[in-house]
Amino acid sequence: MSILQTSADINVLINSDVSSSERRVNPAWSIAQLKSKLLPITGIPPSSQQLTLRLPHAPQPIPIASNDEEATQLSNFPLQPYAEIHVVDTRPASARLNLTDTSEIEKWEMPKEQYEKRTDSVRAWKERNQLGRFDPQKEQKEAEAHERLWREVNRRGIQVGMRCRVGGEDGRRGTVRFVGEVPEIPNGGLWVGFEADEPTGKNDGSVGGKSYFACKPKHGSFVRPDRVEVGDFPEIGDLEDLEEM
Amino acid sequence: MRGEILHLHIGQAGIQLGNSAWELYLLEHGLKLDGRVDPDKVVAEGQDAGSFDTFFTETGGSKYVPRSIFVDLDPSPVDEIRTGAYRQLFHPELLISGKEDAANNYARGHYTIGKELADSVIDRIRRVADNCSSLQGFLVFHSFGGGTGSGFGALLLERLSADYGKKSKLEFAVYPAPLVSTAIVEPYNAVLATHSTIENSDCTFLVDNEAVYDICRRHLDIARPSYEHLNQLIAQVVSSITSSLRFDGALNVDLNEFQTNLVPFPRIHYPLISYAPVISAAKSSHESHKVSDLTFQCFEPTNQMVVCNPQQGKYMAVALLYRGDVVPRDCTAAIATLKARATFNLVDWCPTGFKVGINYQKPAHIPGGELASVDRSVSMLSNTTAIAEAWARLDHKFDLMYAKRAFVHWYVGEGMEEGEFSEAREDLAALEKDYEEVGADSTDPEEADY
Amino acid sequence: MIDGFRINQRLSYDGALCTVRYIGKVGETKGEWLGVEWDDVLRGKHSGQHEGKKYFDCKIPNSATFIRPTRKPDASLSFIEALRRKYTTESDAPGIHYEISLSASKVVEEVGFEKIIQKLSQLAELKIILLDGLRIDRVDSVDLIRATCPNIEELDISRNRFERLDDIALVCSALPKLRSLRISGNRFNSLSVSNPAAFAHITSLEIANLLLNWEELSTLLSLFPSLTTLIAPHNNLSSIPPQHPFPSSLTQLDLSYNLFPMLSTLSPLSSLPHLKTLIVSHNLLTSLSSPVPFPHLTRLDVAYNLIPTFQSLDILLSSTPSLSSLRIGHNPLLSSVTHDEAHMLTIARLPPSIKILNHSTITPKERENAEIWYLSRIAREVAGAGDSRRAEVLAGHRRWEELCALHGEPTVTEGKEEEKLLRNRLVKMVFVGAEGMEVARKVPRDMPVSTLRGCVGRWFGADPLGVRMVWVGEEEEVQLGGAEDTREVGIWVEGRKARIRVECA
Repeated sequence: MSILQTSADINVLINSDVSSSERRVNPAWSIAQLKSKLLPITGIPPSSQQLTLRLPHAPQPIPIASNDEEATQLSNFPLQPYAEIHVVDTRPASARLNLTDTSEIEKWEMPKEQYEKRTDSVRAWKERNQLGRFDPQKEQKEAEAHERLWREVNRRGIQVGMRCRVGGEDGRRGTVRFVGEVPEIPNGGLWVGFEADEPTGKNDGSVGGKSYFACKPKHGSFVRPDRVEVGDFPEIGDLEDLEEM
Repeated sequence: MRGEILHLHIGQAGIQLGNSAWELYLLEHGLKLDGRVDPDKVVAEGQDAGSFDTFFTETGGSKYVPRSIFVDLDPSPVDEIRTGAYRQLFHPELLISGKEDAANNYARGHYTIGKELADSVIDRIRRVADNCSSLQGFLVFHSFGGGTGSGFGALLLERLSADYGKKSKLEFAVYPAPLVSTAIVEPYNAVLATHSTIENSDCTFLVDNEAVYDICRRHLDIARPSYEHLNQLIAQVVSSITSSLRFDGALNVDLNEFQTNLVPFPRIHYPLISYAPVISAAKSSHESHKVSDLTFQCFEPTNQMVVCNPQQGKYMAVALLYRGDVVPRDCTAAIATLKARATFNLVDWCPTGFKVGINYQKPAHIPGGELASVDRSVSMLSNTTAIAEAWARLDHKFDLMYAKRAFVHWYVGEGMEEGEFSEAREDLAALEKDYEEVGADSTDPEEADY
Repeated sequence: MIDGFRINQRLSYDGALCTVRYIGKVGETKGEWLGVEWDDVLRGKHSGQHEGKKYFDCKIPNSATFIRPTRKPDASLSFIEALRRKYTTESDAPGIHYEISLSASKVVEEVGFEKIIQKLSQLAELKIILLDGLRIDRVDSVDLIRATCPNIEELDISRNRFERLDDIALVCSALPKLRSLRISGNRFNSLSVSNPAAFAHITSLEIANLLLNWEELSTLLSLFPSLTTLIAPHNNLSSIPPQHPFPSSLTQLDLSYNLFPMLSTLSPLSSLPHLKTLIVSHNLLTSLSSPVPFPHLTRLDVAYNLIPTFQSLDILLSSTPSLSSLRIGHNPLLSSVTHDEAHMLTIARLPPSIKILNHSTITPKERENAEIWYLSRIAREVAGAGDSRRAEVLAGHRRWEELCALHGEPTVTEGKEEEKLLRNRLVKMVFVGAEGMEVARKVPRDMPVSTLRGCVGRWFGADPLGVRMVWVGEEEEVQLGGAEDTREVGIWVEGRKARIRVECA
């Protein structure tokens, strides 16, 4: 494939049904050389490649073809930077393989047992080092995590009945209505239920059929305590000072 | 002196990326195209004489030569450097080219054609290493889809691993995009390359061209981005990530810190990169970019370098690297707000965590370039289980082709054993399982609100 | 109740800047009001009127509202207070910081913050200081500023509450190393300056959104005799007086986001002896002609304007003889043709001295192709117009003779070009259905496969989406396109006649 380079490569776009890329093409190549290089890019055998050059200004695509493709150099065609060479597969559909539509086959997954046998895997490492689900103190740590949430409630001074803001400076405002565990929500631990001033909540104070407090629909939400700030957060828009006209 | 770093640019994508990256490095260090100090340039803040040493070799006469090797099996991309604008910058002996390209075939790059050139490249690496006072390691730029990038890149990493086992090896790798392949055999090359580099690389930053293409189209004023445009944007990110290696910083000041901070377990070493702001010179810098806005942008999928959805996954590690005029308080406040807005799913038992660093030196700007000059920027490196989406997509494409044994003979014909296909594919399946296992503990990803 | 407020006072509420334009009663409403003009026009509701009565004027229409004087404005800061608050409060008061926890055992780790806090707190060492949007309304003594931060080279004090330019002059006179100054988004009530030499050392100035008239701008710019770069977008400028105030040292001028209607309105700038870069993007330019050329201009940005036709480009050589880089995206001239055609036409119309178009380098090959194609297009236009109008048509293409000399004159095909072409493009196709049903039609080669599929569906009474078309050649068969293929039929079909097998699902 080595050839004498006489002129500079030109960057062109090579497009086919299955691929698209920017490639360097040398005008000194013959059509046959180009086609052999396009084989691993497009997967189309040279004899079945139909090449057309698409230039922005040409009304029609220009076929890149010749009676003697071994001898015809690409310099015979008006190649230019970022022109498109389109490669069409002339084989009948039945002779072509589907290599793009993955819905045709199921993806191979490694069976659980086989993965578990591997020694250099995240699972083996976790098991060896007693991490995550292999941690014998996992439950204790979870309890600690829940304790941390309680500490957070205390640090922030969150109590039922207080005004609060959830989600930072431009967050939602409302009133704390509940502090405690909500088994209906996954992962367990402590939650703060609040009644938002605006209908920006998820529920009416109940989760999974169980009621923790009562409010209008779409005004109730449960969030982790570290997202809640309590304090003097009046309902937005109920102050004469903010009046504007 | 923190120790020298050698850049290796392999194959067409690696070389093009290298050109864009070194263009920026020169600007940031106040050097001219030939590597001489530009007397007109105001030297960047936080730069001392030592900061050159990590990336450049001083040859006297205040001329600096990049410590980098450009190599391609195909002669023409390297020839272009030899005759191009940077011909006086690079050391001619460190521009290496073969005679025959790898024809998009991993096996040609790794076995037949690549083998012939590997010794001479290793020899040049040896010479560079011998001239270093304490080599830290290597930054390897290549693509996973092309023949040279995947095959020869993997071969060189294997050899580096054998010869420089203790030195850090980081990769910037152009990874197959989700929708359109650059070549029909790309899934093979990428799976084979991943399999043979996974043990030999400490940390691999993936970049998929489709994601970068979308960023260029969405945020910049480029209707049809070419690879050159994509590379300029990627280079900006590379320069941000490596700025702490070159200038006064605190986080990731040497290569192995990237691994310590981002990789909880050696196989899981593919962090996702996000970057902000991406802003067109046309839209100008008159708007100020608040630290908080930039931080939030990093968590938007539109600013990611790989298409995937981190909201569906869990984070093992995050490194937020601020650059420019950034005061610590603003970072803290931004992260606090971020956390208040939504639940942050961080895997609790990983040895890695959430780190934040500031580098006072502001991002460089290419005069007349498409990207605007900005006062500050943020790069986020996050090790998230969401990136497994990208592996799953690739594996499925591989399966479709391999089930039909399509083009397998090209690889076998270059001396590769067919067993390497199934071995590589199994390894990747295990990698997917590894990511699954990271997220497999009883705590589910939590929503913000119930 | 309304003590402490005065007309033209600068205030801010939750960080949003405004200017007081009225103080007092409004109509029949209870209590007192402040009429304010917001810097952010989106916060405005009117232009100073209530129920038909005008109370005050504002500079930008619809940027005003009335607010209550009881509403608490943000506290203001002095220059040094803002500087300290941004860069040193953390070192002054360590320990107020608390950890952000992310999970049971993980907190945000701030690496090296101590070091950066230390570094930033060395105000005397800092070279770049950005204090934009920090509600600064007053300055401290020159001595204090000089003693605090004498090494500043680059300063941004945009979008603050300064009312007098003299305050900024005072800051600058204390900073001997200052070269780059940004004062965008301030609203000055007074431009008189006690130390006229305060800005003499500034080489780069950004004054976006100051909303000054020419008289005021002249006063301002006369204070900056050493400027090389001036950035002045968002100033509602639409013309430049003949005796313009721009310093002759300017090399780069950014007037984007203004209201200039034509390049000629900028022609007074041609007297600037060193002007190399001119940015006029996001204006209302409809023409690029200029009665006086810009002799040294090498870079021009006119993207996002109203330049109507490609012919407008012909004038560029005489307006800007030294131009080498042009940016011209997003103008109406580009909307009449496809993206690629626009690119080619732009290149071909531009003089060869222009090497960079829209941030991309034009290669010689690209230029050659564009020019040859442009010639053929002119030839077609000439042919369509006929001999009598030949001169008229060619007059619209300034480079015609030059390009003919370069590439040879293209052959002009006479007659009804379009019709001929269409006939050439037609393929006689016979569509063969399942039960020997045949339909013969003439189909243009450039018809999209998806369109043809629709037609075939109609002819054969089948759902077009289920139609599969196969070209039956002498030696092989080829399926026409994929499911939603918009490519041309001609890609698959060779020759002037074709047989197509139709398979309906």
